[in-house]
Parts: sequence; structure tokens; C-alpha cells
Amino acid sequence: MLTIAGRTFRSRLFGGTGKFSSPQVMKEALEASGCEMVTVALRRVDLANPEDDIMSVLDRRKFLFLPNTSGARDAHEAVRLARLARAAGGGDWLKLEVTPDPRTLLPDPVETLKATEILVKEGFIVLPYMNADPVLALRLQDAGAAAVMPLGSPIGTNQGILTAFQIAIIIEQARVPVVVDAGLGAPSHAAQAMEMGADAVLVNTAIAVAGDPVRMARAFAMAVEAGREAFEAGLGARRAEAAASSPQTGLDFLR
Amino acid sequence: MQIICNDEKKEIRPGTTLVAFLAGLGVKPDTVFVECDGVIIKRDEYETFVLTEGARLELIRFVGGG
Repeated sequence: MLTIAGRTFRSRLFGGTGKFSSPQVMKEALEASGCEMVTVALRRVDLANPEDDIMSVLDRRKFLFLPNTSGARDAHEAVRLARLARAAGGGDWLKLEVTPDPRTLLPDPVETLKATEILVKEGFIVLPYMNADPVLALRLQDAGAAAVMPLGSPIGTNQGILTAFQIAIIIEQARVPVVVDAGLGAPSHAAQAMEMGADAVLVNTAIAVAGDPVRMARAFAMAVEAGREAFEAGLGARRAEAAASSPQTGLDFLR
Repeated sequence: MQIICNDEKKEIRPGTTLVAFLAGLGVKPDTVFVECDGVIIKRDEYETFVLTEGARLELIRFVGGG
């Protein structure tokens, strides 16, 4: 079973709660996914729609909330959001996200490391969203991150794992769980991450915007399980040349 | 008298409590948390917390996100 900061998870799929067409669809999809941890964001109440409280549909005994710091452009803003999330009853768990450029939403490595150092000292369980940089992953672990969350491809792009080479190194070196986050657009992408030895994956957009989010959530759950099973079973080595699966002897009668 | 809530000016009667103000906005108190002049107000203080002239409120809640 997966353990992060002393807490065990039966499911290696983490869910996002954004972009669903309705709170009800979100609830059904997340329940179908089997995930036990879901990310949430923190925003001002829209005074024009004060009843727009989608989080109340989720049973917090079933789902551990992982507040994110999305929208933060530097360490200062991320730390402020983190403290607000905790004060709001979000607990100590935090997906640290520092994305200065709204076009790429790529994480700022320097500010992410800086914020990790501050928040770990304040007792947060910090899971930093990061570019797939093996050196940075080590630095974040050294700073006390409870897991690292390298991106497969930019947030919301559904492009899959464009960073496989770097993620493989991160996994090989990791002393904390590796959660591949962002860009996983199809169950096969999630399976790939798990086959590579990732400890978990986080999926939001691909499930939320699917034609049928509930069925897609189930598909991701199966893919994550299949990928993990394959990793634990041990994949055969890749070869450059063909290796026959049928015997190459006993063909004398043909010739 | 006037206060500022999420950058909007709001007219309230002197003595208005936070819980009454939220009810007036149509916000369920247990779905939001409130910062007043940079300090987070504890939930169990909403009933007794009286808003003062010029107070700056921030109403924040968890929303969907990845």
C-alpha cells in the first residue's frame, strides 16, 4: 500500500475536483475512481453566486482534502494560500503549486523550493508540483517534501508523459513517493506512469472533461491498478532486435 | 455604516454580527471562512463577532481545482 507522511492509501489514483460539469457528476466520478485524496483550490466567494458551494457534496470522511496553492505566482503568495487553507480547516496536507506564467502553468522551481522550506517548518505535509527535474526532486526531498509531484506534461493539456526520461530518474532516486501529476490525458498515460514505478498519479482534466466522467474515472482506476500490477510483476527487458517467441528449431520438415 | 467585503462596499446597520451579515448575503456560514482585517475569524465566533465601520472582510471557500 502507498504511504505518504505516515498515512496509507489503498488507491494510487488521486483526483482533482476542477472542471466538472456539476457537483453531482464530480461526486459520482470521484466515488467511481476509488480515490481517497482529492485536490481542492481556495478562492474568494463569488458574491453574485453565494450558494455555489460544490465542496459540500463531498464526504470528507471518504476523501482527504489536499488543498492546492493554485494561482500563487511566487513563494510568498503560496505560503499565504497555504496558511489560509489550513485556517479554513483544510488540514496540514498541501499541494504546493507556484505557477507564474498562466500560459504554460509551468512551476517555478526556485519559488517552489523556497515555499517548501518555509511550509515544512510550519508543519505542513508538502507535496510540491514540480517540473520533471531530478535535481530539483532531490532538493525538495532534502527540504522535507512528503512526496514529489513531477509533471507529465503541462496542466490540462492531456498530452501524456512527455518527460519519461526525467521521471524515470526521479523515481530511481526517490526517497519519498513520486506522484506523476498533470497532463495525463488517457488511462494509458496513467498506466505508463505506474509501469515506470510511480507511486501514484493525480488526474483531473482527463476525467472531468470526458464524455462520461464516471466511466472515465473507472477506466483510470483500472489503468492505475494494471500499471502498478505490471510494475510489481516486473516487465520484460526491451530489446533492439527481434527475439522469436516460437521455437526456431524443429522446422526441418519445411526445408 | 460601511464595510468592504471582497472589495465590494456594503452598507450595514451598526451592531451587525458576522453571522447576520453572511445570512444577508445568502452565504451559509459553514461553507466559508472569513478574514477580517487580515485575521481569520474562528467559526464559533461568527455569532458574536460584531462588524465595525470600515472593516475589510474576505470571504473565502474551497472550490474545485486540480
